Amino acid sequence: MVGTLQRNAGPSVTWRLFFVAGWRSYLALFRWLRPSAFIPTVIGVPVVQLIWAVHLGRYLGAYPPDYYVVGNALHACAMAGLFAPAHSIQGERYGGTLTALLATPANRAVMFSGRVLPAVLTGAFTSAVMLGVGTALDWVHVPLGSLPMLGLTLLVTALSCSACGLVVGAVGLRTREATFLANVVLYSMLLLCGVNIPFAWLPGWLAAVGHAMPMSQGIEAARRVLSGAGGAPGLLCWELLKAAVLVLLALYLLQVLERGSREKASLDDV
Amino acid sequence: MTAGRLDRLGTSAGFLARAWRYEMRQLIRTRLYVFLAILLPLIFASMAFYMFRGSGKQDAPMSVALSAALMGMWSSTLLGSGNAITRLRLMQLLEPLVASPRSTFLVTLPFAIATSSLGVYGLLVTLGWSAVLFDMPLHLEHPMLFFVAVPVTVVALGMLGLLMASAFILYPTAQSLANFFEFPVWMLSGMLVPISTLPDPVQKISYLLAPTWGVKALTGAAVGNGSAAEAIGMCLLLTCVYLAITLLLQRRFEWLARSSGTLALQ
Amino acid sequence: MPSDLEGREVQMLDSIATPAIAIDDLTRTFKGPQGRVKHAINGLSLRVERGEMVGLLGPNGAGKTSTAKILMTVLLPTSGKAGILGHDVVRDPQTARRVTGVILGGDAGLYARLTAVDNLLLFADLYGIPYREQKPRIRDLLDMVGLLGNERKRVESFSRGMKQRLHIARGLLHDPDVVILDEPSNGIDPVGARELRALIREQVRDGRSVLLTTHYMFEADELCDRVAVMRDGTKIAEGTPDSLKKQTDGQVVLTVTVSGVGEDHVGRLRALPGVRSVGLTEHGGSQTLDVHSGQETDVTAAVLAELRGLSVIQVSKREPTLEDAYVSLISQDRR
Repeated sequence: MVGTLQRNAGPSVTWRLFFVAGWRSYLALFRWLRPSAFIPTVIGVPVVQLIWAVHLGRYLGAYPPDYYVVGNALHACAMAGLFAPAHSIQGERYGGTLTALLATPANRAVMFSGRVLPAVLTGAFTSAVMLGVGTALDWVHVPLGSLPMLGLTLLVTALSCSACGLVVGAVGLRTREATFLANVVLYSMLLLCGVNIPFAWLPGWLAAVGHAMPMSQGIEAARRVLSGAGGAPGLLCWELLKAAVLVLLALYLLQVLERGSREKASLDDV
Repeated sequence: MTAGRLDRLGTSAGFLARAWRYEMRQLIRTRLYVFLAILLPLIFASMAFYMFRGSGKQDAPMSVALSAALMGMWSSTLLGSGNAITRLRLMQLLEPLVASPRSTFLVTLPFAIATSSLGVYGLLVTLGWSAVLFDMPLHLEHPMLFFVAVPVTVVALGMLGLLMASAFILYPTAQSLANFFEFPVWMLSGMLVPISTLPDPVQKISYLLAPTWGVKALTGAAVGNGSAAEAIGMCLLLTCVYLAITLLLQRRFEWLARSSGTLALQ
Repeated sequence: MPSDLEGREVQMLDSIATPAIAIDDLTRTFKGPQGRVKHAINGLSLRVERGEMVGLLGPNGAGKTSTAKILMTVLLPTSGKAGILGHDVVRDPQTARRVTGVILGGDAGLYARLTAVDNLLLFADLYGIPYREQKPRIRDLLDMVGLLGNERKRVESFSRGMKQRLHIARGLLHDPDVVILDEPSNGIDPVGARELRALIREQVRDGRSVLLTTHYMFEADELCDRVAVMRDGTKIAEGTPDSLKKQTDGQVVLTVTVSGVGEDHVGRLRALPGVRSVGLTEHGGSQTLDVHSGQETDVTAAVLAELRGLSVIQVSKREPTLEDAYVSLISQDRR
């Protein structure tokens, strides 16, 4: 019997590593998935944020509520998008499973990028719920015909955020500060990505930073889809490009960190 | 006062000082926390100024900056106390701390004080950034009142944070609860947007929140609108009420946490 | 499958030449506080032949776990070589990983929020075990380690012993040729530890080559063909358990159960002529002194004279055990 299970590779193995193992890691390590924690964080926080933003927007009187609803609904995908991959990587370290994980022959790129998919789905779902809340409160109107394009926009934006979360998780492996870093990114997005503040109100260099951050083109695309203006596909291509760059950066960082950990035994100490 | 009681007070004070120092060191060593303490006030101040300027709203720059500072202070208090409990859980220190003969209140107080200390720092940083980047005049209408209002507000926020941290002991996913209470308190206590714009019944809740009076006290003393002294008094009063509730609840929470076994990492 | 048979033959030919684990002049240093360099492993050489089970013994900090981690490919050596079935763990870690099973000890290393089956399924995917083989394989393993019936419970509800058995199932998922067991019995009660040893002897071993790190001498004595003892990163003894016991040939152990012994007493006993080493064990209320001496001198009277005034409960003489051999090896040059 010895040796029969040891020489296996191929498309089906890779496929399972990406989808099934990615999903199981998400279940194992994104602790918010338990309803008592999942609902206040992934749904509750974005809802109160949405109400706050509309409240502030009404006081300022510069834009109608739907501007703030769309911005904050898309920003909502950042909660799951940033924190799920970040936790699923950093959690390996806290749980002591990292040693066992790195002792397996699994392809690292496939294994780690598989952790993005559940985050994308959760993120896009949250954004959809937020738009639903906005519709229910009569703050935004979603034309039925715009739904397919809107769905695509949510998915692409969530992908971009989750790719960023993967980078945060990689950094968190080394510094154990993934939660804080994710918070910094989350708040910066609120300032820079056109969530509540139009790019025209920001100084040029800040607007440029905002354009380069994940989700900024996604938010713009969503606003255009809902108002019936064109140009959304082009914006989504930009958003996809950013996502690709972030995924590659994260995989590179993870590779460097794994090498570093083998040299310095640095990943074991919690 | 008997010598024994004096002694106990002395050791309690010593414990508080040591625990505060330990907690500060923990926070400052967390490199990204310091980064956050510098960056978060800057993000909030920028957000507030760009939004108010862009929309042409003519609120006093000082009151915008103070609101932003208080937003940051509240966020760091929440993140700090939520994170402190999570960290203690991870280090498996929560159980021995609760099991120690010290009251849970004394054990948790230093976290609130330490995060509030960083809050004072955040306030100064926000005012500094606002003056440098957004040409805010650094002029205080009633400097004396202002310098009384600052510690009172900081303590009020810290106590509200502690009240919630006590609940966090019971609730194993403290971090997520911490995030949840951020926006409502901003909104209810009139940070950036006056509470007069809230619906009537909601305003009643606002009056029960110490931060509401903190915002009034600080802006009142700085800009000179409204009675700062009265607000300081209300803030102090509510802080005492929070303290009493915390003491009462902690016993209950501790008992519940022990019976449900949620002290350890599940 | 003819190709598979061919592979098996090549493997069998291989097995004559290559040992399961070959460690040559291995060194691993760490930077300590103030930039001081600490040698976790210092010039270790060790062989584990095919089908052999070797115990790596030593106190905490001796370098056992660092050695195990290098073999698991999660730590790089500073210098020297380590190979598994001829696959270098530095140059070819992927192949080494495929043929190595890693069984960790302690609470960590499992996903607490997943069930036992989900933990195994996750690692089955990580080891690239084909889907159709996963479920039967996992069922067999759960049956083997005695967790069938508990497989749908979350690991966080498991006892320490159940977690350890799950660790074993996880390590054997891909049916590895070589197994590294890193302190498996840490923190397990005596009855559980005995069951665990039976499991290791019968199931983990099962024709495989095993390296076991432990600080329990009797565990190594019961399980291993050979034992290597490490101290401060170097190998200080190697051989079969019996040959190590022989190192204490010609010694007698005087065991005194007593109460009220202090460090100063132990110091004076060590200075007595004929005494080779003294061990002190505390039991609640009483203490046991193990005084080793040569057969030629009877130290009983001198020892009891030193303990005058204390309440001596029992005095007996016995032959040295493997534990005594281990203790005397570890404490050499330390007195």
